[in-house]
Amino acid sequence: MIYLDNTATSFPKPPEVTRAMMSFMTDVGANPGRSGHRLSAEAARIVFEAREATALLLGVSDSRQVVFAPNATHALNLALKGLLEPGDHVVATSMEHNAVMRPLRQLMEERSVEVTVVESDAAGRCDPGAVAKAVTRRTRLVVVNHASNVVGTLAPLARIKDAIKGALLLVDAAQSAGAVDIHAERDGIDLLAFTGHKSMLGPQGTGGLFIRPGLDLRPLVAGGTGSSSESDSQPRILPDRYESGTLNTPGLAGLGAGSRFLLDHGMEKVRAHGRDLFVRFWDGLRRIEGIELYGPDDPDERLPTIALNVRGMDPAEVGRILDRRFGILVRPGLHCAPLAHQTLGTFPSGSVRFGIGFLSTALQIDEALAALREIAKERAR
Amino acid sequence: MIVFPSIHDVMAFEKRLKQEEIACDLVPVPRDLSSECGMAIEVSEDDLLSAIRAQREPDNKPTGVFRRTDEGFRPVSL
Repeated sequence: MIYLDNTATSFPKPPEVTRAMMSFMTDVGANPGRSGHRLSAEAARIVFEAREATALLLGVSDSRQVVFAPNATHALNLALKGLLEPGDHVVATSMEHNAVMRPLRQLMEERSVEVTVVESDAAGRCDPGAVAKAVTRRTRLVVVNHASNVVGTLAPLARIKDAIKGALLLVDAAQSAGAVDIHAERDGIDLLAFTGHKSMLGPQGTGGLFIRPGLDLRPLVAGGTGSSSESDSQPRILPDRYESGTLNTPGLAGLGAGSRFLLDHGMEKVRAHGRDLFVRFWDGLRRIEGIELYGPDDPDERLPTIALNVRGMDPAEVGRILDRRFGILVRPGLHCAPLAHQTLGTFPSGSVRFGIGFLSTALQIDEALAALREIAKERAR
Repeated sequence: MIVFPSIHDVMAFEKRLKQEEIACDLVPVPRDLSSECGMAIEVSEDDLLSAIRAQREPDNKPTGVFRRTDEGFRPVSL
C-alpha cells in the first residue's frame, strides 16, 4: 500500500510520535498542572515542551503566544470570531479553505462583516499588489492561505504584510506548518493558525493559533484553566485565556515529538525532500499523455501537493482505481475549497490530489507514475 | 516558595533552573499564598537568590516569593 494522502493527514507518523503518546498513556496520564502532584507536573512538562517546540517551528520566541486548539479550523474560528466586530471589512484570497470561508460567511450574516475576495491566478498565486488594492480604511483583517490544500501554491507572506499597511494579517498555515520554514514574528504575522496532524507529523486532534503579543481576542470557549480559580472571570494571561478545559495531553505529547523530529532533521532538509519528490513526480507526469496538471511548475512556489486529472475521467473513478488496483491512496474531489477549484478551473468536478509527505519515498512516486501511465493509456484506447 | 500566575510560567521557570543546575521541587500552592495557579516552585534558602537571578525573561516574573517558617509563610522582599 502506498499512502499519498499526506495533505489530508500525514501517515505514517515517525515512531517517536507514537512512543511519546504511548508513554503518556502508560506512565503519566495525569491532568497537566491541575493538581500539583508529580504526575500532574510531568503532564504539564509535556504540554510545555510541546508548546516550546511548536513555537520554535513557527518562528515564535515566547511560546505562551502559541495557544493549543483541537485543529486549525478551531484556531481559525477563534481568530475570526474573536477579532471581528460588526461592520469590519475583511480581505481574503480565492484560495481559502472552507475553514476560513464558512466562518466568514457566518460573520457576514451575523455581524454584518463585509468580505472582499481577491482572485489568485490560475496557478493559485496570490498577488500582494492585488491584495493591497482591496484593502480600505475599514479593513481590519487580511486572511491568507499560506499553502493551498488543493495545489500547494505558496503565498508570499512578508510581501503581503508589507502591502496591507495597518490591517492585521491572519495566516492559515494548516498545510505549510512543518513543511516550510515559518517566521511568524519576523514576517510581522499577527495571527497564524496551524494543525498538528499534517506536516507537523503529530496526531489528529491537535493544532493551535499564534497570537501576536498585545493582540486580544474574545475567547471562543470559557471555563476552567487551573489558574485564577477564585474568579469566575476568564483569565487574561496566555495561554490560559484561550485554553479552557483539560487539554488533549496525549495528542500534545505526540505533537511535541513530531515538532522535535522536524527540528532535529532541520526544515531545510524537510523542504529539500519535498522539493525533490515534487520534481520527480511532476517531470514524470508531464510526460504522460492525457494528464492535466494544475499549479505552478516551479518547486519553490509550492508544496509537494499535486492536483491532476486524467482527461475524460471522473476524479472519483481515478481515485477508486488507484486504491483498488494499485493500492495507492489519494484524495479525489473538491477538497473543501470550492473557491480554489473555481480559480484553478477544476470546479465542480474537482481533481485527484497526491499529497507527498516527509516520510514519502522516491520509490512510491515511481509507482504512482507507473499506475497513472497505465490508467491514462487504458483511457486513451 | 516561588509563586507564578500560570502553569506555563512555572514550567518556564523550572526549565531555567534546570539549565542553571539549581535544585527545585514542584509543589501544590498553599491556599494562603495564592489561588492563581495550582503549582509553585520550592528551592532551598541557599539557592533562592541565584534562582531569582537565573530568570532573565521579563515576562516570566513570579507573583510572589515566600519563606516557609514555623508560623506559616512569610513574604520575602527581594
